[in-house]
Amino acid sequence: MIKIFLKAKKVSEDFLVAEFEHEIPPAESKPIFIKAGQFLMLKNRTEPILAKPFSVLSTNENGFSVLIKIIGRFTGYLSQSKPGELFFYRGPYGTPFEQKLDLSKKFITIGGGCGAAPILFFNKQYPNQIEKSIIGFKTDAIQQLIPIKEAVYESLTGQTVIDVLNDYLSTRYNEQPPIVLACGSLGMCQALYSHSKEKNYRLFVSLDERMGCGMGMCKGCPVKTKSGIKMVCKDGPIFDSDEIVWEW
Amino acid sequence: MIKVDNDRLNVEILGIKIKNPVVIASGPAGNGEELSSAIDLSKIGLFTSKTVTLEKTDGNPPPRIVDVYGGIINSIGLQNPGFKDFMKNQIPFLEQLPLQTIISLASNYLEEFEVMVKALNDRSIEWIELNFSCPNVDKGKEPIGTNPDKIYETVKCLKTLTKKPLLVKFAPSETILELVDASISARADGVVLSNCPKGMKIDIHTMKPILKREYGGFAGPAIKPIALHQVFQVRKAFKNALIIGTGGVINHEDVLEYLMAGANLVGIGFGVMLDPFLPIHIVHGLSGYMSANDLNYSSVFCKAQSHR
Repeated sequence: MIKIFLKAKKVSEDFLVAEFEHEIPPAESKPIFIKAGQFLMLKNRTEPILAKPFSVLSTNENGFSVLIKIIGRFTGYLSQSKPGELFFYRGPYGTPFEQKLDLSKKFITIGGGCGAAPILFFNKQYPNQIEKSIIGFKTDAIQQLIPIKEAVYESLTGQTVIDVLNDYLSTRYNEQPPIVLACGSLGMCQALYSHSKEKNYRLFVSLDERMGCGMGMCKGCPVKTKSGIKMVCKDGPIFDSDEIVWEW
Repeated sequence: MIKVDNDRLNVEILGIKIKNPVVIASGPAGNGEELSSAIDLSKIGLFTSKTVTLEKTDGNPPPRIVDVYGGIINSIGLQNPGFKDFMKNQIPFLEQLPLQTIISLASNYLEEFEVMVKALNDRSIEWIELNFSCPNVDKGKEPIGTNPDKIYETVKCLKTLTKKPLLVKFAPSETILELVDASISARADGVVLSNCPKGMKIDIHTMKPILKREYGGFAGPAIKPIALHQVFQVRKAFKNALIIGTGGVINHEDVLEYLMAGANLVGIGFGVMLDPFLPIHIVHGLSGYMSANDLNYSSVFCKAQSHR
């Protein structure tokens, strides 16, 4: 695995933005070549716990930053870590969004919670392909970490991302049928799938699942599809929502 | 570039020369496609395929992996495309890997094993493992691997069908000596100790088991002392048995412990998930240890058996 050091971190409620950098001087380093939809497997130095997959929020000439929800042992550890601490990563893994999306089309992108990271990265990599973007959070605590102009806060407006999408679709005038790309919790993705059938739009979802190796070999992160069992890490994380067998 | 002193790590088992005692265990490394793109498998001793069953198996619904202290609980459920598809699409890749390969087979029925073992005779893979102990499937009747009579009957029959070395894989058991005795009496060529013991985790918020099947296979460093003891016990009772020790190996010191306990070869499973580069680091570590202490494979093998 590749050594990387925590450069800076900001924590707000249960979210964390962490910036990592390589030890080598920027002049000698090569930027990480990662595309929206791909992820890195990140682990700490000491504990023998599996590396965890994280979508990057952004990259720079000598590292990357991630947006993480603090939910488990690794993320808890990271939230307590100090700048300069050593971590390890490998990757990138996963199929880039661009390989499964027709980039001659425009997309309504939706991110929920830390599912915002790959969507914001996609928005940045393909600004001309974004029809509208909705990034939803339960509270506005995220404002203390990063500015997100597309953000909507359920605690302030009472609206979920689906409510906002619904409002947008009801006033939308566009000859092209809407195509939605979403990343968030399984609950959000399932609710969007039901909504997509009601409102008749095409939906791609980027799934999150507990992973083992992150490379497709251990078969630890399955999703049931109409063409058999696929791995979120290798065949995904993006899937056409019509391909997924949601009940398993 | 670290130079590996192969002369210190060479092993000869059943007349077969093996580069070093490091084995990629069945499961976490799949069938080697992804791992071979990450590491040079020619540096490793043996590779074990993911366990294959006669019929296609979808495996278990997610979650399949849960972190616990000392490792993970896994509930993969032997996901595989079935033996026919395996023979058509996976075996050609395994055959061209730059190291010897063990094909891992599972079933609760002798008849199914017969079909698979016979079909492997025509292929250039070297070894066969009978996985009698997957913790994550419950199809069919009582598993073969806990019943010495069934083990004897199955192994004895399968030995008449193949000339390839036949290994039998068990989970940790209080009756391991009986199970190994049944295998060896039926002329099994060796045993793999140990598969994952069963374990579980409960979500204290929902008050339910996290895994849909309630339990799974406990893998990781926490099981090493258990598997190591199984190896030690079996070696003490069966001086000449071929033993592949596996369970919780994450560094070269773990491999040395298994060798000293009496394992001829040592498998890495969870460790490959932890870090796909780990098998290479372990070979380097073993080579470094042997060189620094002017030892070789023979001078550490079984050494802990004669501690008194």
